[in-house]
Amino acid sequence: MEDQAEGLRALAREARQGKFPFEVAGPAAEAKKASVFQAPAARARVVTVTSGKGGVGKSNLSINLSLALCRLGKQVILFDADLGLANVDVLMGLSPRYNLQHVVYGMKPIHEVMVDGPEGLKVIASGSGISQLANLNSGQRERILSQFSLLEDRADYIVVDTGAGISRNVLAFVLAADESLVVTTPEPTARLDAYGMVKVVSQEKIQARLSLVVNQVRDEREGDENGELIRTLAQRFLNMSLDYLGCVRRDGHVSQAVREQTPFLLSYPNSPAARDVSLLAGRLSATQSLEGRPGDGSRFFSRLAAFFSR
Amino acid sequence: MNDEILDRGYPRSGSMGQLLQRSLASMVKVSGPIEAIPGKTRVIALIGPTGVGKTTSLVKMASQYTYDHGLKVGLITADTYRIGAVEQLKIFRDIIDLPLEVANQPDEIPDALAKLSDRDLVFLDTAGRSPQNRRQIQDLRAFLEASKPAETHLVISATTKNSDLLPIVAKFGLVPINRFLFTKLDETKSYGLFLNLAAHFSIPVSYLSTGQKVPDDLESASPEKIAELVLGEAHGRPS
Ligand SMILES: Nc1ncnc2c1ncn2[C@@H]1O[C@H](COP(=O)(O)OP(=O)(O)O)[C@@H](O)[C@H]1O
Ligand SMILES: [Mg+2]
Repeated sequence: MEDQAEGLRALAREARQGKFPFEVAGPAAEAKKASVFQAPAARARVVTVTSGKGGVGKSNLSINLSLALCRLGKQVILFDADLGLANVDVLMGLSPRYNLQHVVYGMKPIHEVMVDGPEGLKVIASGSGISQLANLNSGQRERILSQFSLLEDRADYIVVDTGAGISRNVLAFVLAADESLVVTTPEPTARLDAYGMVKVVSQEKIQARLSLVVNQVRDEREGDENGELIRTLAQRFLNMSLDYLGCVRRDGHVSQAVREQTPFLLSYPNSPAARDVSLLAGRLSATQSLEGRPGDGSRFFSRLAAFFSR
Repeated sequence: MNDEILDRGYPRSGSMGQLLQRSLASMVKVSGPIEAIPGKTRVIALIGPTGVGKTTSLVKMASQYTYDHGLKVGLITADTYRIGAVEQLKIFRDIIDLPLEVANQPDEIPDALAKLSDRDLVFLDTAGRSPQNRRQIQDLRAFLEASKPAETHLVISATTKNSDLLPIVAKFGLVPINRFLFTKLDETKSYGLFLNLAAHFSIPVSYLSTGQKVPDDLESASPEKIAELVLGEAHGRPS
């Protein structure tokens, strides 16, 4: 499909090819950083994707949103952090051999754990690596966190697919991230659980930024109604303001793509779901991330490690 | 057969029942019956959509507090829009012999309250709908601000469609709600979402109403009663 953005995408692709995203820093990388299309050493914006209820479409959204961001010329790392049901690799037809656990135990450097996906996307599986960070001594921890810092320095976005429900793990990711997308469907229990998720986050001292995505909607209007509903509840009962990022229509291409183990954004680029996810990516990149985290210039992975050890 | 088990006190004595009761009690809070302080007028407001049983519940509570507790009870109705609403309440009033005040506007509330100042409990009935739907909640808010209720119970019928439940809470959430009152529990077989609602919003459940019999079918919510409902649901309680 040729459109106005095609030219921009081509430029972005070229820029990316010239990019040196994930190798250990060196003179070549520094030189490339200076090129026109490089964001000047910006730190990655970390977006977690979470939900109150399982099976609402988090993983599919994480994957396809990541790809849509890639198509907008962003450098994206997709981090599969669903410690219960990690299935990003299956959904994308990738077979990563290592996960973050190998990094945490010092068995692999971070770039060997990253797998190349389509569109320049990098995929990392968490394994139970992240939660083990809490158990390391401070020397080990520093060494590993400095490896993670590389990721944060080189990517525009880190998209984190978390598990469903209000567990300590999920909460740690949400609180450490720059923002979180709370995914729900119009189904009564799913949206009540989405509210429950928002409520738990609202009770934390740390202010997390939450946005809603309503998946599997009949039409845009149903998405708007549900987004507005949860926004209203959060405002009235939790005194918490949420953004409604948008919706993704219910679309048979999604389950088709799941069966085919290819992201629908690539195999069915003109499907309703693909178009909706592209819109979400556009909106996400148009909004500003929080200007740093309140209090400190700390990094996502070190914040995460801190949450796991609290 | 399931009813038999329940009737024989299964939820109280059986370990499954006790376990369920304890875990439900930690999720779903109950408020206990309305608190009355003799000599001090406490206003109890009932709010909620049309047709959920606000007036019926209010009359049940009024008669329980009059006859069982020997308290002085009064009524105010702000539901002057629905045809027959005031008349319905007048019939009950005549049966129980209670003072009833009608407030067409929020600014009539202070007068009504003044006339009922010797009452221990004043129940406020409100409209579920008004001519301009848009203004309805603003009106309700004004009535509540004028009457300063000690307790505001959001009345929800168990026959409410699951998909309507959260929108109702969102709509009435514009006023401070501190109790859920569930009605028509005899007309449904699934309570899961209602109890979930109470759990998620941390709003205690005050009363459970299982029928139309005034005043017998209104029970103060208790962990036992809730466990009984859920057990009945799990066992496919025959209706
Ligand atoms: N927009 C959609 N339209 C139709 N089906 C969808 C959509 N999003 C998700 N699904 C279905 O839901 C299933 C679960 O999605 P998944 O992303 O694995 O959920 P989660 O990660 O939240 O558990 C998918 O396999 C797919 O069949
Ligand atoms: Mg998943």
